[in-house]
Amino acid sequence: MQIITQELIKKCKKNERTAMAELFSILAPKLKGICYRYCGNSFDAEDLLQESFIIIFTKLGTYRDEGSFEGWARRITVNTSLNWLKKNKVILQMQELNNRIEAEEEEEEENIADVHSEELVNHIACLPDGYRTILNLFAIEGLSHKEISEQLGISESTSRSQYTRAKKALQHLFMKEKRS
Amino acid sequence: MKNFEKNMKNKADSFQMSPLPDSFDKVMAALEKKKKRRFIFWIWFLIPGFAVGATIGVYQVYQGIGNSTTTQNSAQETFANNTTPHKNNSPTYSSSKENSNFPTDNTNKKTIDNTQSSKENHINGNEKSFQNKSTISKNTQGPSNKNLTSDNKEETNTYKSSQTNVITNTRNQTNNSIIDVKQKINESKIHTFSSSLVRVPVTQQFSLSQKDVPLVPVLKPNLPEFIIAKRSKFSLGIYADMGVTKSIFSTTVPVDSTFKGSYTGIRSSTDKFMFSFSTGLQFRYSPVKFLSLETGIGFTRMQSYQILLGGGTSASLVGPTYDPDTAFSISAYSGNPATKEFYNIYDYVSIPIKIFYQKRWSWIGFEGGGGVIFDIPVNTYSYAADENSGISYLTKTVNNSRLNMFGIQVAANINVVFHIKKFSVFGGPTFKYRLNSMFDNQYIMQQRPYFIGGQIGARYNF
Repeated sequence: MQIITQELIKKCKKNERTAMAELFSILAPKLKGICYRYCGNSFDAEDLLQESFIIIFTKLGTYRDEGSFEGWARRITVNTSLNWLKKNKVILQMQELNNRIEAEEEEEEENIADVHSEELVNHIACLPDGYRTILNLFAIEGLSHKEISEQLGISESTSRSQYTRAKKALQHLFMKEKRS
Repeated sequence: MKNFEKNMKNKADSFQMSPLPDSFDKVMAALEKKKKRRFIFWIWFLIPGFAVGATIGVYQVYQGIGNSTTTQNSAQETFANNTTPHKNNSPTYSSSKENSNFPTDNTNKKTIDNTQSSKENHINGNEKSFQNKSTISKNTQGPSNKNLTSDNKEETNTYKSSQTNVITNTRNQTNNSIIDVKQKINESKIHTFSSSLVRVPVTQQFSLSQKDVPLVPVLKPNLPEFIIAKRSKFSLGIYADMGVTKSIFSTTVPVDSTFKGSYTGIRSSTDKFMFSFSTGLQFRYSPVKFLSLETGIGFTRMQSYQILLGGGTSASLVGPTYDPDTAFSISAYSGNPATKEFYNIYDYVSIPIKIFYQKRWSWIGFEGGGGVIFDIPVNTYSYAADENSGISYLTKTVNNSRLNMFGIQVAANINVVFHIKKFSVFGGPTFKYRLNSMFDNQYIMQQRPYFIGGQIGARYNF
């Protein structure tokens, strides 16, 4: 695995194309994965990836060598994805599962430890936009419900209930697949 | 954090997707474009900046000459009627000057393909099928089989579940048809579930609960279509300034010391408000939403009029050395204390360079700003009368006289703007003030007209 060195970042700051290409090749697969998790399709994920990299290269001068560069780039990507979701108003629709799924509330938690990452992400991508966004922010990005509510402009309780339902929806998908 | 979240995080973090081969080139191209745009943006600031700087520079140089101790050149001027105007002894003087749905999202109205085809599910997000389908298989069982083989035109994800359900994710990446493809995606969004899952339409599967759904902000008032105008970067229009002009007279010598000061005082008090107008074409560039830069070309006509009652102490001493309005010689100027009248018409070609702050609320807006106007003299018509000559006006077109001085004005505008489709109609008060004197520095008296009036106009926004 390639490492992002300070030297590489310095070169990128100087707009050296080869260095920028190297940085892109290191980060792009991971960041596209993030974009895919948020938007749910690879076409938009590609657009979001490019948009994120434009911001990363433009704002590179503001990156101080504190913390990991990957973390910094990741935050930009997440924010870009969230902005995209807001822009497309998909975030405003917070769906609920139907009663059928509610009825399965008591079902045991699906163990996803042995699920392959691609399978997981593809299942996440299948979730409705609202569920997907909150699941990403809470479970993967590690944001609290308060932070999510501030970021998305929804109430904390909505975020919490959406997450619970998103989790159930995801588990439901896994279980159904497993049973079949 | 529970195991579920931990596992989710670990797995999601390890997930990667290969970007398209030309992805980096597109990023670089976008960056280049951005840089160019930034350059263009700054150029539009630099041009008026340079103009303002040059104006101040010219003004300062001009003032510097005026401020220095000067000995008047007493060279005699001979006029058309062979009279020699009165020349005062070359006076030595110094002057001191003063001088910014629910979204139907299609909820996503993700149209779930409810045809229970157990073989293949085309899914929104994961799946997009287009004309040039090419498929790449991605075995979910194998960790590294997710590699996407893609060429310049297409990228395909095929998700093969253990249940032999093939989920095809096909993308037509043809650059030229990106928009079409996006539209197709929006039109054909379908959810993906493996065939083993019971597929239920979104409308059944996820029922909306009103209490959990935040209100969707209303973005646009429901206006009639004919007044919905779009913001545009460039506009071309016509304008007309109409108002009155009066001059501020000043002198480089103390008011009480000599007649010259008194004379300037008399001219100030006798100067009348005269109609003045300006009209022409304006071109606007709006690099950002709130700002626009304006230039153009126009025609300006300005008038001045004074009447000096006879018998004054100064009248007899009026002469071209001190009074610039003596564009040509008349007998009255040869030591005659008669009542005199001056009426001049000044025509200019005007080139404004202005910067405006603009704010718009739907079909109505406001703009305020200003800048400089360069006035290139075209012609001056001078009329003078002397009582002793029987109030007979003498007229003369003055092409190459001291009255034909290049002018620099500062201007300020505040306009209300009405937007109707691609047209904007605007109007509001205007103020202009000439920075340099209308007469060159060899004259003791200086005349700087100011304009108070209004501007109206219309623009077509590209």
